[in-house]
Formats: sequence, C-alpha cells, structure tokens
Amino acid sequence: MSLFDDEFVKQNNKRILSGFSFQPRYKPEPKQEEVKQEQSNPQSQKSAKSQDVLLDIYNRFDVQSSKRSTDLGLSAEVANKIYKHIEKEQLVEKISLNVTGKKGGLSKYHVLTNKGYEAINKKPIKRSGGTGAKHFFLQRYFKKHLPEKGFSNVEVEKNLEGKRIDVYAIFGELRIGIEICITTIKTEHLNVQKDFDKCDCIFVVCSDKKTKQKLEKEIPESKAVICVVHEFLNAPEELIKRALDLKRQLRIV
Amino acid sequence: MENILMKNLTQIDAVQRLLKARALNLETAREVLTNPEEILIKIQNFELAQSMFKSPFALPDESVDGLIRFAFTENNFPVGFELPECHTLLAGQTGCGKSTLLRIIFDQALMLNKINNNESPFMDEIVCWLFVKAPDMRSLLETEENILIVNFQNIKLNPLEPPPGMNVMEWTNVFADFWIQAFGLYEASKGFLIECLENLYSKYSTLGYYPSLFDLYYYVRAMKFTAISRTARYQESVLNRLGGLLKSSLASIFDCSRGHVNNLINQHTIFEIPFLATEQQVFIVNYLVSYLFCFKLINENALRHFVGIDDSNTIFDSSFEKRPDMGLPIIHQLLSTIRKSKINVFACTQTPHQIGAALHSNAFAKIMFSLSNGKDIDFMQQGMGIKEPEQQAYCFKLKPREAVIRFASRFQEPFVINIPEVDL
Repeated sequence: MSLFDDEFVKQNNKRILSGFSFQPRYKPEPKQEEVKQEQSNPQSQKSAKSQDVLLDIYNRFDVQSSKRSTDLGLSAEVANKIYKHIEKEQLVEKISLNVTGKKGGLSKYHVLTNKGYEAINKKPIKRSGGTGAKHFFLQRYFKKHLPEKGFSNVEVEKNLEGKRIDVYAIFGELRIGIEICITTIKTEHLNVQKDFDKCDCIFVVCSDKKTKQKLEKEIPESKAVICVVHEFLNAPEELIKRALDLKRQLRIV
Repeated sequence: MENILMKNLTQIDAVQRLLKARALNLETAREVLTNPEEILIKIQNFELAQSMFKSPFALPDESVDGLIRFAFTENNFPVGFELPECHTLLAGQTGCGKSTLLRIIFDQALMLNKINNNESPFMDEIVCWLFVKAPDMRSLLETEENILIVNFQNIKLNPLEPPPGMNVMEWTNVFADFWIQAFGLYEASKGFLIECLENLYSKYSTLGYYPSLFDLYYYVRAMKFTAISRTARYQESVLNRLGGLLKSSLASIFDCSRGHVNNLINQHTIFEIPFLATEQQVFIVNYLVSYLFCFKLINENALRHFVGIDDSNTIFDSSFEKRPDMGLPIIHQLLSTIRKSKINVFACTQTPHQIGAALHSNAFAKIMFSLSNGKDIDFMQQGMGIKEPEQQAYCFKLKPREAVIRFASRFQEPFVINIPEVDL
C-alpha cells in the first residue's frame, strides 16, 4: 500500500484548496437560503477574493489596478473594498504612475509587500537596499518592457566595476544606464557622476514632472538626459540621440 | 625530422583517445611523452575490448551534462538539460522506464526549487504539472508536500473562463478549437458554437460572471430551428456532446463561473485522468494545457512550468493534424511559440509514429526506450539520425531503463544512456 493513499491525498488536497477560491455559477433567482448562507460569511468571501487579487498581482505586476479588477470580473465597488482591505492589511503598497503618457491623470498600481508574498505562499522578490515600492516597480517594469522598445540585455542593479546602476541595457551597440529618481534629488547627482564613464548614455528617469523640474536644476543636462517615465518609454530613440549629441558637444568643449 | 613528426602525431592521437576514454592522468601522460607507440597499442587494445561490451553509439563528452540531471552515459558522464532547452519526447513501450525518467526529472525540478536561493537565484522557480494515468507520481509528495492531486472530484473548472488579460473572443476561438478536436465535430458545428458563445458572453458581460458549460447547454437547447434545417443538425451535435459531458462524473467540477484554474498556475499539480472517458481526457488535457499556454503568452511571469504528459497522444496525436477541414490544432501552434514563455513539455508516448509533427519538430531532446513496433523504431531512428546498421540493430535490443537519446544542440550525435533505478 502506498504511503500516499487516497485518504492522505484527500487531506493534503483539502489543505491546499483551502487557500483557493471560486465563483459560483450565475443563477438569476437564487434561493433565499443561499442568499442567507452567502451573507453569513462575507469575511471569508472577502479574503478569498483578496487572495485572487494578490495572486494576480504576483502573476501580472504591471497591470493597472482598474484593469485587474475588470479582468477578474470584480465590480468597481467590490474591487475598491478589496484594494482597501489589502492595503490596510499591509499586503500591498499602492503607487500612482503615468507610464503611458496618456491624458487622464495617474494610474494606480499595487506592489506586493513581504507580508503579501507570505499570504500567497510565495518567496518575496529581493529588493536592493533602501529601494521603495515605486522604484522597485519601475525597475521591474523597465526590465519587462524595454525589450519591446528595441533594448536588449536589460539588467536590474547591474554591477559595473563595483558601481550599481538601477537599470542597464544595450540599445544597438550603445550601453545605456538608467537611474530612477523618485524623490531623492541629492543622491541622483552622485549616481550620475559614478555612471558617467561606464555607459554611453545616462538617463535619469523621474516618476513625475515635478521631480523632473527639480532635478533639472540639480544636474547639468550635459551629464545626463532627464526625462519622465512615459517620455522614455514612448520615444527612447529620440532621447538616445539627444544624449549622444550632448556627449559629443561636451567632448568638443 | 620525419620521425619526430610521426612521434608527435602518435602522441596527439594517444592523448585524444585517452581523453575520450577518460583515462588521461599524470601516469598516462608521462607514458605518452616517453613511449607513445606502446601506449597507443595499449589504448587500441583497450578500445577493442571495450567495443565488445559497449553499444555501437558514440561516447559523449561532458557537454551532455545540464542543470536537470536524469541519467548517465555509458562512459559515466551525467546527462542533463538546461532550463531553456524546451520540450522532450520520451518514446517507449510499457515498463521500459518512461515513468521512472519522468519521476526523476520532476523530482530534480522540485529539489532544485528548494535549494534555489531567493537572494541570488540561479534559476526560475519551477511549477510542475503532470497529467498521468496511474497514481505512481504521488511519490513526488515525498520531495514536496505542496502538490495538489486532482482526481476530478475536488476542484472547480470553467473552460469558458478566459485567462486574465485575454479577450473573451480570442478565448472563444481557442475553446472552440479544442472542443471540436476532443469531441470529433466539424467546421460547421465549430462556427455554430462560436456564434452561440459570442451571444452568451455578451449576455453575461454586464453581470460580472462568465457563462459555464451548463449555461451554454441551456442556451443552445433553448434555441429554435426548423427541424429540417442544417443549423438544427449543428445544434443537435453540440447539445449531444455537451449533454454527455454534463451528465458525466465531471459535471460537478464545471458548475462554476470562475474556477480554480487561475490558482493552479502557481501550484504543483498532478492530474490523474485514468477514469475519464477518452474524449474527456482529450478535452481536459487540451483545455488545461491551452489555458496555461495562453496565460503565459499574455502574462509574462517569473515562473517556469514543467508540463509532463504521460500519454501525449491525447493532445499531440498526428490524426489531429491530418483533418483537412481543420488545419493545425491550436495546441500544436502554441507549442512552437511557447519557448519564450518558459514552458517545458515532457511528452511520453508508446506510439511515437502517431505523434504529430509539432512535437517532433520542436523537441530539444528525443529519448527512445525499448519499442516493439518496427514502425515506431523506424520513425524514431529517422528522427534521431540513427543510420548505421549496427546502431539500428542495437535499438531492437535496448534493455529496461536503457535508452538512446539525441539532443538538438551541444552533443548532436545519438548516444546511449542508463536511467538510475527509482522506486515508484
């Protein structure tokens, strides 16, 4: 008789399936008893749906929160409740970004916290020291989407002769370094200095226009091209040309 | 001058032969330098003696090793494949060691997951899916307890629920494709089914639910056509298959709007399908594998999936490719495009000559165990480039757990491997 007989499997499956959820079939006129039963345990339903959302964030980190709720078939009201619940439980961190450059303000994204990873039994992805949620999200976003824009060998936290660059990639034959700037205006200056010789072009990518404006006062444009996320993602070639022109001018001087 | 040249050539020859025999060490090297002719004769005698016991296949070098190790060569090198080397075809008759090999590969994957350091991972996390016809693979629970064993009583699945991020109409096409393949319907019934699904999805889109197979059944049944019309025949065909499925033991698992399939993407799972009817096996395996393929094509995630299929004729049978009215099944098309989406398929078969070209053309490794049907042996020999008469004859004499393997790159000559014995 096998060690893993039907009874063992049944108990093991029960344990695993307790973390799963499903949505029952649509029934136009539910019986009164069923309604009562559903209402009697709203907490467990909420946590099951939260699990679904967390798992979906794990699988598709770069999807906007509104699109995620549509994909998961959640109404706006239910989605809102779930997002509030998982934010309150510190399972996720909410970030706002405009990565497409379209009008209509910032889009919301959610990033799993270590507690969030634990809730879905997954190992957390390691962040480099002191990296905030938005910074980490942008690094992963670039890693995933830059290859579509013609970049290759995209690496996060690339170590070049002892100096780490937030994102490093190759475009054609050019070595591109990207420093992501969220709020730490002062340190970006130093980061750009250290990357300057190791890459052909340096970009400082800011999460919003305000940071970009502040940064432009701090860093001379001859050192690095400063841009907002969507500017970099939508027209990388133009920005690279600009960066190369600036470098050429610097050499002439 | 000529003597020196001759001596050097003899030394080179001796060194190469010693390397091949893995016998190059300080002592033999000294011998090569001092007395090359004598050691060359010794090596030739050794090779002659060895050829009486070894197979007529080439002896490979270290390049056949890889991260997922599963066998040893005749000259005792470990054999393995790297993660990006997708798809493996395992052909052999019953009892020859296919399941043992599958067990070793999946065991290795689960073990590697455990030692994969999250801070500096050396590989992607691997999720294992196995479709099997016997409960043998339950022994994998010894390595990893977190494996769901699906015997189709305990889970919920809705084949009409598309993967997150996929348009319902795109999924309709995929669903209709594997539905008609599983239940032997034709193009016209497929068109009718797509039309019904389109209407049903738009009806349900405002409700926040996906229609289930039950809803599809009731919807099709409620449609009214003139009894002599052709559409009534299509309706009849679709209803007949749906009715059969929904009256079977699988009915309860389809009773949902959103099932567990989205959770299964991240879950090691063994699907035990022996007690399903043949067409249900084809349907279930096709549905789950198509779902996974589509999910991974749309949603790039950090996971790598190992999909083992004990009887791959359920989805890769060549008869599915030969229907002139249908073209290539969607799963076969997906297989050729899935490499970048990190899915490795391990397909076992007892009748490789009935396996479709999609798998044969895309398999990185082909492994031939003992086969009894000459057609199968010829087919595998052709696919693996086994042309020498001695090698061809050897294929008829393979012992249990002994196999001939050919990689598509690294070492491209076919060679013999031995699978370690494992208690299943």
